Amino acid sequence: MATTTIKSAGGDYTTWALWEADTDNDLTGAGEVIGEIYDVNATAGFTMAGATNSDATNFRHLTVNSAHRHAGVWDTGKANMQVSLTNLIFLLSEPFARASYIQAKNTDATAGGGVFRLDANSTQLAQCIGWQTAPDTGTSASGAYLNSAGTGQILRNCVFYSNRHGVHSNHNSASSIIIDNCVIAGSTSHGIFTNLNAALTIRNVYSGGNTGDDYNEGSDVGWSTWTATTCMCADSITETGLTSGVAFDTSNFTNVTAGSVDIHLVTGSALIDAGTDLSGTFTIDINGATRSGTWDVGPDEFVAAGGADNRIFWPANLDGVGSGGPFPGHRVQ
Amino acid sequence: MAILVFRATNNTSGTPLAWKRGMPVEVVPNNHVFSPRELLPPAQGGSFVRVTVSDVTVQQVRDFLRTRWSFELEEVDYDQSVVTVEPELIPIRRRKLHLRVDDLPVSVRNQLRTTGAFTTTWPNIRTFLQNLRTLENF
Repeated sequence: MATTTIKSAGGDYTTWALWEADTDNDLTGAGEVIGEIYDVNATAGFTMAGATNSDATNFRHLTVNSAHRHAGVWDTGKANMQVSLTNLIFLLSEPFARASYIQAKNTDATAGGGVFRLDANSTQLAQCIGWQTAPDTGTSASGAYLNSAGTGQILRNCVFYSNRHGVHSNHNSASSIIIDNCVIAGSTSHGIFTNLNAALTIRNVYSGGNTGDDYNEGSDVGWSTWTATTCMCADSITETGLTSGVAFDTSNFTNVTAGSVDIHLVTGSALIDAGTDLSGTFTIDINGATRSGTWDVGPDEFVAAGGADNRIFWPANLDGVGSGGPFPGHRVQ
Repeated sequence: MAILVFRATNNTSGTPLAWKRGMPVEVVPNNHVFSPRELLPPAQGGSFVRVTVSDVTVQQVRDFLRTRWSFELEEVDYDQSVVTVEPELIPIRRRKLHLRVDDLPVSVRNQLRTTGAFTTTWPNIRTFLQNLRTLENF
């Protein structure tokens, strides 16, 4: 595993794009090639592509240092990406490429073209937030657009809101898409939208508050080629593995106002302890905290007020940032 | 002043979005502090060259491109496919423009290769910026 840093000063690179453009190598034997973002925001579109011989062991991974990452809610004080484009702004176009803890917003005022695009096989987004100021009404203006050039894309612990579709899988056939513990909300069209016959596995996913259908399989509300496990939605849909009628409101989430969305769960939320244990695949939530007990639906694993404070504290200036305190990413309600 | 950072070498992977020599990676303000790795000249194995344009700002570079060609410096180039239910834009090129490196004066190319940097003006550099779709020079 090789990690290089992206910092405004004192690091290996000074922008996200320069890291990417210098690490597009033959990845044979390279292991996980990590670009770790510190205090650097992106103001132009980002694309990860071109490295060769990537596989499940050897791949590039853009992530954010723990002191500079969001805590499950959009935070301009942390590393972020704000770009105005009529196309998607963050592309993973290299097999097995990963991105985590990226918060990205397409700020186009009238026709935002979407946020994340996963083009290649087995690309993965984890703990990411994607939203738009004003999504376009056409093509791929989605929070996450899964292109038919790739299969096996994975979305995990992510939040997509205020997009055209929250997630659009543009596949016509077996695609092996996996969406785990995500919240999709406030879409101007559908929550999750696929073409007919796309193979989709969704687990512990919530979709609600969308103008169109919360789940739409190519004009078919609900699904026939999807597999769902302990998922939820606000719409009234009868499907296996789905609980419907769970409102996208503050009885379940902290804040559902466009522009201020905070999907952390509140006491009494229907999503609490309603999920399936996926610890054989991953163990954390959007805050980076280890999930415990019965899993919750969505990216946030709720911790009750007065619950055990298992935060990790670090001493002042150990990492040269701030003055010490709870380890970022560990949130106690 | 603005600094245009260009890719100095070709990525030969053959994928459509592979970097090609002369493609712009970034445009940053003149006070941008690069890391030693980013400053390494191509002659010493570095991946980038920096062209400082003394008479324009970053915003002006962006505005010039947007006005002339209606795209951003860092935009991926797409083509459109209609094979799926919804039209699908297929990325075909990492950037929509490049610097015609081979057409630069030999002295400039040598300086870029050995030092990684060159300073010029917008009128002098813009004619070497080429729209990769139309092959029009700026």
